Amino acid sequence: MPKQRIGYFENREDPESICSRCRTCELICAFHHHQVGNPRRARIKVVSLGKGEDIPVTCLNCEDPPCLNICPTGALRRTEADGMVKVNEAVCIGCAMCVNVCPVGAITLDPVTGVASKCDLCDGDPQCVVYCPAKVLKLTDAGQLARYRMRGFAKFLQSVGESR
Amino acid sequence: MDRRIFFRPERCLLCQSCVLACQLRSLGISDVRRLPREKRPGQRIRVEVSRNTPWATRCQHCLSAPCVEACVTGSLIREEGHREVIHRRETCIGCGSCLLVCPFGALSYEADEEKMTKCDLCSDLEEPACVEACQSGALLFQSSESMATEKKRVFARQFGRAHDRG
Amino acid sequence: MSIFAGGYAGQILYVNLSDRSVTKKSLTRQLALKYIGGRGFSSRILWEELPPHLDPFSPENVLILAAGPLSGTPAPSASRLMVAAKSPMTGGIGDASSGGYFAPELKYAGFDAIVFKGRSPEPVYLWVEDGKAELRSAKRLWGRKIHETSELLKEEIGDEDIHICAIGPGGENRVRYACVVTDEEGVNGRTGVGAVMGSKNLKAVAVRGSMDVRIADPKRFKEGIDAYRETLSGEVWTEVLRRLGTPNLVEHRQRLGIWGAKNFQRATIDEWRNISGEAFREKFLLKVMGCMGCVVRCRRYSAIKEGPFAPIYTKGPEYDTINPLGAKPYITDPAVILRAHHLCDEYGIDEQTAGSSIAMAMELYERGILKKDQVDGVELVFGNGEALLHFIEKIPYRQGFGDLLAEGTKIMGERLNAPYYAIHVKGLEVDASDPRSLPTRALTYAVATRGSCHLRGFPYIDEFIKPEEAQAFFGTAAVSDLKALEGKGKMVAWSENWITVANLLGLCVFAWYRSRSFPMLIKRGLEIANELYTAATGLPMTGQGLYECGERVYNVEKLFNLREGFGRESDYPPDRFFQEAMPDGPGKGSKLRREDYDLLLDEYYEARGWDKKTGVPTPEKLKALGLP
Repeated sequence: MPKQRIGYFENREDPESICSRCRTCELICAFHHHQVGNPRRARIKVVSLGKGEDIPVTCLNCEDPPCLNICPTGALRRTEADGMVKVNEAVCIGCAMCVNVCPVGAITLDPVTGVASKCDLCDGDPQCVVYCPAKVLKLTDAGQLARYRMRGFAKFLQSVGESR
Repeated sequence: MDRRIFFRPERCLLCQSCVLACQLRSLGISDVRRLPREKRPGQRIRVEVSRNTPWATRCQHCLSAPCVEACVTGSLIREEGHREVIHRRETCIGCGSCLLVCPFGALSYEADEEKMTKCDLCSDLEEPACVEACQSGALLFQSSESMATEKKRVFARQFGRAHDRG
Repeated sequence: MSIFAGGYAGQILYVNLSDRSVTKKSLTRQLALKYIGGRGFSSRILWEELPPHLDPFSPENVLILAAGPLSGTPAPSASRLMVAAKSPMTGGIGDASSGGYFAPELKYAGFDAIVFKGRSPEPVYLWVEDGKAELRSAKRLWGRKIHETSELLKEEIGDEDIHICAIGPGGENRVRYACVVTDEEGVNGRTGVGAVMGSKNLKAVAVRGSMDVRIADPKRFKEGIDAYRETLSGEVWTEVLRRLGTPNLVEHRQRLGIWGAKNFQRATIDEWRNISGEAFREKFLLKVMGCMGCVVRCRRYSAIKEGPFAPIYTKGPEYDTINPLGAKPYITDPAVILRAHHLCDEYGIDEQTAGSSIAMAMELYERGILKKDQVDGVELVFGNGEALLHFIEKIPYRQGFGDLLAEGTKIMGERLNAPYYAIHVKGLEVDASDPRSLPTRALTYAVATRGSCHLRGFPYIDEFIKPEEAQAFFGTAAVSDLKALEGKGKMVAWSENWITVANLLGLCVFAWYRSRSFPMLIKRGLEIANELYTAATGLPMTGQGLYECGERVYNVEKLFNLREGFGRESDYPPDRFFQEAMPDGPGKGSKLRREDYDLLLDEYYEARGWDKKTGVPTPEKLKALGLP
């Protein structure tokens, strides 16, 4: 089974189906994991690039995760073969090597506890997906994302063809 | 801010400027020509090749540092308001327990002093000497959050760009 | 260590700009339980700290930025920041709120509010982070527009993710209606709070926080969030807001014929379709945007990519952009409106008053009261978009005729000896709509404590309340009759106390107030809101208790205004609405009748427990509210 992740599926043709930067995902993530309001503790972050470009970024659930590979204590591991890499907080020493090697910066140190903090798909029912008002976050895998992009590109090619 | 040293191997030239800068600082000299050949201080940062990739071994200043647990004389401590794991040279007996438990092997034994030595994040400086010396930007001194955010930004830019079709 | 189990940060930051001292004071349980937060804190502090008859530009004026107890929590749309001071436009209570991300961030930085006193001898900005704050030189920033200011601050502090409240050249030059702009988008627009900030030489406040906003009872809080969201699903108003934003009201104004176009000389606009919500969506909308934790997402993000004004990327427009910059000066080119809006946001001047002032000048010019040489040689006629844009760039620097325009309509009316054409209440321009055919709205606008305001009350209750509900709740079924006047004073009074609750909690009204069911106004607005409040803070409170706090805050504002000399006559709509009938549209021929309005106002004062002649709260009312 392919490894699951939270995917950002925007539709640029529809102004309501693009990330609105409401950051509800950040709010609900931190609340779900820590019972507080503090988006700095969220495992997902909406990156604002300006000119209306806002992209939520979180763990890609790599097939061969650099974070898991580098962790010196084994605090980062998969409990299921195709599941998310999870943090065993009791074992984590807060060395930040995982932060150093993650290619997309999805794993951080929690600002309050100091241990590694990353998306864990909320143990199967990701809250960001539930609460996103634009419905642009979905539980998916790399294959689905690729097919989504292919479809979009195919539509684009079609429109180019039609306009001729 | 929990600033610490991060390493980007893809930018490392293996030039050893960081190692040199660190040694100069621990000797308190600024002229590299005055660096003694024989009596080199213990390395607080080491740069080597491991499996074809540069690797900078340095103290990670772990939050729950194993070395702090292991130290028999209590010379390794974490203090409120300090971001680094402090090594108290005066009480150190050089037993090497810390080096045994350190996942990174980031401490060194100084034979003539019979003490351990390790990175202190140059706590009296703006920026650690090694980071300042690094010409290629392989060494960074920033918080883990800002490091992660920068990488998220790069990823987001590429993700967004992939949608643009001219 | 905060005494509160959650919700509140428990600290208020006091900044004395004269001696550069920064102090933290604990939020008292008393203040929290009696005034809740947001506008409650700002109005109470203004009442306590200011002597009467103070020049609003004097160092003794107090500028307050206040978040609410729900700001920073995942409560739906808990994004609102209140900025308040004694208003240089009205001389009474001045406040303006905005959405976005600043108020939550202030809570993450460990503060419920910031209170500025004094005046800095040099331009400064305040940097707030995780329980600490310091004043820094703003020499490099002074004179710069909003975007540039933000970029420079982010660079100087070294963090892209800081949140910023700033003034532009408008505030620096004390344009009477200068505004505060948060994160280059949300504007604390009206009553001139930006001018007060400028008079203190305070250029910006930058904030970043990583502290928890604790929740006393997370399980109950989550249930509250879900219950709240449940009440919004299927709510027509939120659907419309998401699709078109507040510009959806353009069609509504046209249909009812209640525009204040051409400075209230026209109630309908022939080319209204060019500036409708649909038009802006089709032409310029890139995407919809939402403030922190918002379920509605009413903000627009628009771009002009071609034409003489390109490129522009901006939040907006709102209805309250299209009305003053489109309808009032009778501009029906949407690109001009968007450009004018962007300029106002960049310079930091309130588009409501800017548009109203220019529209007033246009009428005076067309009537020959203003001559061409007085208006910098510009052909200042209705519909002249170039003239609008020209003066929007002069006002922030008080150049030429821009200097008089920078004072707002009330002072323009006085200086030009033409007060009849200044359409304001207490010095604040009539926004929203022309109330001549809807007397209940006229009452709502005129009695609002900050000057003419459509958001201080909720007069639409009579559009959907059922007769039996009206009878049970207000004591008369007439409240459900759109045409009746009876009971409306009572209705407006209740609605004012009720709507204040959202301002106290930090909740956005757009996700809080609308329903086609009157019981829902109480269920969501008070009961569920109270669930969130008590679950977050762990404090004892009821929905009715929140309502009473709303009433208390409203009365404090009334006391403040009374102390400044605002009598009953200040609660009247402009003369024009009594003397001139609506010229066209479905409401043609309507005008306010003095006898009717007096009846409404009498009933309103009575419902409020205020003396009918003076508007002063009776001793019984004050005692019941625990005032002063």
